[in-house]
Amino acid sequence: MTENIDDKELLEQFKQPAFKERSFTLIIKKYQEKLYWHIRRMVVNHEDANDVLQNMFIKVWNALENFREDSQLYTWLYRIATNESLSFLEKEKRKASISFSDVETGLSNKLQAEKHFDANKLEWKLQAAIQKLPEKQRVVFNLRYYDEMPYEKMSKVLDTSEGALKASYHHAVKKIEDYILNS
Amino acid sequence: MDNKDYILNELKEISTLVASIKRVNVFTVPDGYFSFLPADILVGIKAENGLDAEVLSTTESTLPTGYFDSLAGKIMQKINAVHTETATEEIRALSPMLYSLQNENVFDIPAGYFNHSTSEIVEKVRPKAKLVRLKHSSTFFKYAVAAVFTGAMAMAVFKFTGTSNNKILPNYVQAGMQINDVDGALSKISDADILKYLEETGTDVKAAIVANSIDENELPSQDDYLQDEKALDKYLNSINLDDLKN
Repeated sequence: MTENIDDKELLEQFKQPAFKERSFTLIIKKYQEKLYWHIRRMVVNHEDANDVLQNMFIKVWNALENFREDSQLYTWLYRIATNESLSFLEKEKRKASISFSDVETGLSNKLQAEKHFDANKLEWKLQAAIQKLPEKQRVVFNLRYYDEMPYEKMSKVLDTSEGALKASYHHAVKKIEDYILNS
Repeated sequence: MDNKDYILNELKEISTLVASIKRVNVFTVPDGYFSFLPADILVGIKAENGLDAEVLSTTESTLPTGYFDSLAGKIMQKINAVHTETATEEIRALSPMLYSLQNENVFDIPAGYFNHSTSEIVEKVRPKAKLVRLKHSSTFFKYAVAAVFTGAMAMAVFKFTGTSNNKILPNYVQAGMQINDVDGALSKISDADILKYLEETGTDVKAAIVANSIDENELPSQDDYLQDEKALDKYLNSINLDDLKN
């Protein structure tokens, strides 16, 4: 039901103090699952995803009043979610003071800690392969493969040309294929 | 061709293997997570801004009565709440594995340990009959001073009452009255005489000898008494009283 509420209408209501909280709640309900899973596929762990998502919405609350509507709300939200996820991963790296390759190991470990993890199942091998990708390539693959996002929209989310995104997606798929074949 | 089919075909062209993998969501989410998420987010926003629920929906001109009076206290509450969370959040962020083990206590303790531990500790720290640490030869000096004082008192009484009958006064008083050089006379008194005097007056000779003859720096310290209730016994056993007597 909430998916049918027009973004423009929600933004209008948000600007009215009496309806600010109500409209924001509706925005959250409309986009929470899509954004959650986008973040979750980046950070793996539910608690981390919850933290990133909540921080992301706090930022949205503070910035929404000045949202210029040059892009769609959906695109803007995805961009913030992506940036928050990447910032989180960067912080994790700094906290541990380890190299990028070790961050991948950390994510692989988190993956193996997931309930029902089964290294023999193809869908889990796919996840393990995705976690091995460089962060930006991982974002591109997830947005295309899971969110079925058109390159045009992805270009606005990631502020990258469509050509670069297509190339990045192509490389990501090939790396995943190699990983699965060799694992 | 819709977007979904287009993307699937694109994937098949790059990798038939990856395209053949079932698109299954392998991650799980706690039950009811999305139902409570909006409310949780709003709580987070309020905490971040140090505001109450009613304030989010009001304009500046319609603030609740007394809002600014209680604002500082509320903000401090939020800050303290955030700080309380920080340590937990920190360990959870640093190591999910350690976070999950936080409350796991692997050590056993005897049954009823905490019921008795307080009284046992108090018992250990309660000072036992401790050896009084006096300065070197302070006991001897004390007795010597007492003897001199006793003699002086006797002489004063004798002079005051005008009693001149030497036969009434004790021998030691009579002797004391004859002494002109008290210090010199004291130095001539032998240890045997002192011991005899002490025994006759019921003094604990061993305690007096130890107090006189040992270096106070070698005595057990206060910490020794606290850590080992047998500290004094051990120390006394280490001293050969016969050697001190000689």
